[in-house]
Amino acid sequence: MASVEKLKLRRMIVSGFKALEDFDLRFPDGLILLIGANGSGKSSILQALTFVKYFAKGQTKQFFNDRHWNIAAVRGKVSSSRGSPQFSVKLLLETSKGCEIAWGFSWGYNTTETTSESVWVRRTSDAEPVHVLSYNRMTRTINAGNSTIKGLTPEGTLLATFDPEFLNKDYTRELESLKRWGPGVFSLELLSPSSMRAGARGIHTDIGFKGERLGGFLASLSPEAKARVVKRLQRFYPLEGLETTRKRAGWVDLQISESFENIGPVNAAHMSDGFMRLLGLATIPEFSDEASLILLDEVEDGIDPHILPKFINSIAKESPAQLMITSHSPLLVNFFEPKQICFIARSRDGRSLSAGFDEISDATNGLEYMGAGEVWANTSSEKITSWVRAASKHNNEKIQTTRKFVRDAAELKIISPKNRVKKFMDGES
Amino acid sequence: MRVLLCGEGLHEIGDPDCWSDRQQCYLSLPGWLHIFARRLLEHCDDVEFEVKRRSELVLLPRLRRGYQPAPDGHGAKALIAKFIAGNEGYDVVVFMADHDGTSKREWKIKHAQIIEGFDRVDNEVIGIACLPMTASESWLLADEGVWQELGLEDKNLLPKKPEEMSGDKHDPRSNDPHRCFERVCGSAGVKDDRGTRVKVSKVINFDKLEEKCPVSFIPFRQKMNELEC
Repeated sequence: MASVEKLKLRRMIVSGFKALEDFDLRFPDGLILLIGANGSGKSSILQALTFVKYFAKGQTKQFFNDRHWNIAAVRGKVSSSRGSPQFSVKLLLETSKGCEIAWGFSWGYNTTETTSESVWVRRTSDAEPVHVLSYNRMTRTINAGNSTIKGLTPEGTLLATFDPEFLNKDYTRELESLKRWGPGVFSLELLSPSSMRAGARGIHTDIGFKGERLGGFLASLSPEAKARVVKRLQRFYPLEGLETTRKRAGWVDLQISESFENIGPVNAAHMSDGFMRLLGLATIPEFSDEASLILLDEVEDGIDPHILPKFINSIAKESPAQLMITSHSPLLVNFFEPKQICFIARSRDGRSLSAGFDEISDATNGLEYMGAGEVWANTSSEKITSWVRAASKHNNEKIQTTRKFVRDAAELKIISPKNRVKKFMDGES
Repeated sequence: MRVLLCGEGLHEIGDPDCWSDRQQCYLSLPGWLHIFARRLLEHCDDVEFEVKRRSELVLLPRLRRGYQPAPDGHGAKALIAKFIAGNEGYDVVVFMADHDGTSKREWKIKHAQIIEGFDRVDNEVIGIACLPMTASESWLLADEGVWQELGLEDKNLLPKKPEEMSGDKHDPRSNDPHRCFERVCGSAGVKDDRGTRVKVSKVINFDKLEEKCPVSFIPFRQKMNELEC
């Protein structure tokens, strides 16, 4: 197997999923914090990225089954595209050495199959981007390197079915890295204390999207890793220790010892919601190395505001994976840098829009004398929406200019190598 | 002209979201500051007021590096009030607070802190400090004619020098402005509430108020009168 490199997500463009249509989001180094009003689309963004995990594993229908969702109910609500409804995702990923991988796919709501898939690789910033893999459902044809394969209708990515070396032996390393990245998206978007308290069995590499595998995950950790979880929590909670015992049929009993005199261990079933959330979040840095992106929805729920910013910061610092967090807490936001914060709002026609905090001059003006959370809390939702719409309009104008340039350049056949990946991300096929 | 009034509570800024059981809808009730501001801006034709409680101005613990330290005292919230006013399209922000003391020197410090907060924000909004000496009740007790109209018979209950009123606010007999206001209301047969403060504000003679409360009322009146519409 070729050596793999850990990828970082740098940009996502999503269409055809709930209110996400031409939704464009750029990722900073480290953690990204999504803020915005209720219904702005923050959770949809997490769900769209969670779908990518299922797509990467070739189990797209499972995504809907796990959530008890009707497939048709999820399709784009503001789609302007004609033809059969589909969910389209474009991701720009990057290795630590600057190699860019642009991965795009479309998935049909009616067919529940992959409609198209494409991978571009640009190994260095001055290299020619190379189209290393493509699939089109119309022709049922895979083009990879110099080979062509016909007659396939995959449910998810081709990488879930084929060995990267078989698909394109010149770009095995990049395809292998991509194949690892997708399943490494861990969504904790439905983290629920009651699920975390319920018993678990088996050996797990994560706690599950509701936290339902927490006990099994803790039981699977080495004593050193478990001690790290305890130490991490001890900064914020009077915790003495965690004991996991495997019982009959592999069920795990989780006991929590608090550092109070004369109080014995307590079963997880009797611990507070807030503690269970703290415990679940404190396990994140212990997820396996396969974790690439961890998604957390409304991270402040049930957590004491006195410890919230430091606790979340410690999780972000210790986690080897990228973190994407949604929050309604100005207190938490106040502790993050503007470049890590992204506003989400809805356009007049209902699409979700994004704008980085540092892209909005009216917001950054306030940073001279306030924290980002204070600027947010002291600005009305209506004003924030108008800021995001204006910034987004500006960004759209930039995209249109780029598209026009690419179109003109294509006609004259003068596309520079640098613009090829950009062309792909901007939707020019 | 759009004016944002920031004050402590119901008495000053009224209740912009008062639920009426009888009318089954939300009503906007004014406070005394509305009435003062409207009367002081009579030279302006079209003035629109909105209010914000000081507790709605959010100050949070923050990362220290990268930001200027917040101004002292009320300055921190005055800064936020002017920031909000700028973002939300107001022309003027009136920031009201009680001085809670009788020292002229301390009044000047508190007033300067509010101005310092305004000055930190670089926008077009005009910031005006409204800082009654002792408490707003000292202003509202300054005109004996108003209270006689309301039914007060013993005018000796009114303070001779309202800006020098002080006492234990927990002692009903003390010279604390709130306690004195309570006694005057009781004697006049009116309630010590928002409604009475609004009634007084509507008819209070500002010249008499200037005479009785020169330290704190004159600067406020001047700034309001200077506003160009």
